[in-house]
Amino acid sequence: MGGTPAFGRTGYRSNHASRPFDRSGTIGSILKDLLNYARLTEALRAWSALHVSKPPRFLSWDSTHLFIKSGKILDEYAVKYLQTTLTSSNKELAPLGEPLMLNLGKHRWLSTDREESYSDWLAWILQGMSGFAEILPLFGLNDEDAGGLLGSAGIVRREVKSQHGRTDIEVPIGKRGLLLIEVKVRITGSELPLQLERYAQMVAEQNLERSVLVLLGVGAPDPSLPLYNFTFTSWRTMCQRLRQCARRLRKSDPLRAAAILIFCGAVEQNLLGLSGEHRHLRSLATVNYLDEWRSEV
Amino acid sequence: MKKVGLEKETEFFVTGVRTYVDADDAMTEFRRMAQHKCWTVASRRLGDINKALDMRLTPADLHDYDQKTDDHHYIGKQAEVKGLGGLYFCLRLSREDKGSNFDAFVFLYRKRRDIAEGLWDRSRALEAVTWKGRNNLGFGQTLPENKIPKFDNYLDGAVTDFLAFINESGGLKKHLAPAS
Repeated sequence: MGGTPAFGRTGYRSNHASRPFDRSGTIGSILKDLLNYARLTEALRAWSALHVSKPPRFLSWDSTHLFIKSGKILDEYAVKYLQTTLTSSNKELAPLGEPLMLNLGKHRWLSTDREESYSDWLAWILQGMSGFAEILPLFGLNDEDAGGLLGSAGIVRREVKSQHGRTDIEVPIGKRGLLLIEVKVRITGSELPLQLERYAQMVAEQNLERSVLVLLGVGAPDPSLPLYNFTFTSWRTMCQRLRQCARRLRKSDPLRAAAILIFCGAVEQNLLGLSGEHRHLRSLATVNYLDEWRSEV
Repeated sequence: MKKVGLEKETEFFVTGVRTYVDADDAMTEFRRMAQHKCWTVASRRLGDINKALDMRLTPADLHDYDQKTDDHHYIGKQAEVKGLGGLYFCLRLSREDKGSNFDAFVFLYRKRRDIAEGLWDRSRALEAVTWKGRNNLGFGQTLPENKIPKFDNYLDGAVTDFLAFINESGGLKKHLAPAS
């Protein structure tokens, strides 16, 4: 992700800092000169003499060729590494299996822009959980974030309409609380803060005892964008936590564990670009991902 | 002369057409790999970082960071620091007159100049702070060509320099008091 505020508004020195127009008084004198073309010509000549041109940078693909060659060597190693990692992950999830080995990229329900499908499936998974003690950690939250009042979740609602818009997932917390999840399957843009502000306002108007607002997305929004009390969680992190949940359930509740894993596989393949099959220069990303979730005990 | 120039231009374009997709894949994978290395180092040091900043960051709070300025490329991870701005762990690539320059880099960013003024004041006299911007404090470890494989160690060293500065300054919380 780019466009963070770190440099744009800081003491980062532009190499244009010594432009003559930056000196006070110069603009005024030039304006006067506009009335006197002869003097202006002299000024231009003087400027021209001051100009030191940089030698043109020679553009070449040499570095690129070197880079591509190195990438090919890396890829040969990645193919073997991917197989080893998939085998380990498969064992970890036995008697089920590693969902990345099942191709979930072709199903129409799960194509990239079907935000509703992902929301429906996630809502169903949340509904099957025992309560907030299980739900909140999926989003990196705990009972402190929810006001210290955990309990069982109410009926999970989808696409609740109001004057503020249509929310993605709402999970009631008791009678006077709400977990609101805004689901995004694409990189979020500048319209996001307006939407979040509307939903935050909607929640505030309900005078709830406690509310937890979550933004679920592929990549973190630009830090300069206001999130209005929403906490960002990435699909990547949430799926790794769901995998851990499936690992715990795989023997006691294998059907539910399998459903969770298939959901993870769909998200990982369609939204995160991971795959159990070798793809040019993409396999190490999958290896790192699988290593990460397995290392979380 | 013009004809030679045109031939060079055509050759460059043809090479670009032939290699662009592979080159782009290699760049994407390189960026991901650099970010993963930064994530690994930063995750390992989160206990110390949380203590110094009085925060509860987890590895999931480290998000991708990639920025290009006129002189530098920054590739790594970033975490929001509530009440201040952000903390960045990255590989800094620079083009210099005599070649390239690489650094393992950690920096702290504040959103406004009136936040944590004491920290910025204190940095002025310290050599350990290698970059003293109006709103950035950077802790860099120059990476010699032959040490590039040891990038993780150098980034870890930059984290250590950053933590030493924060801890010797009395922790971040002290500087985020309303009076500051």
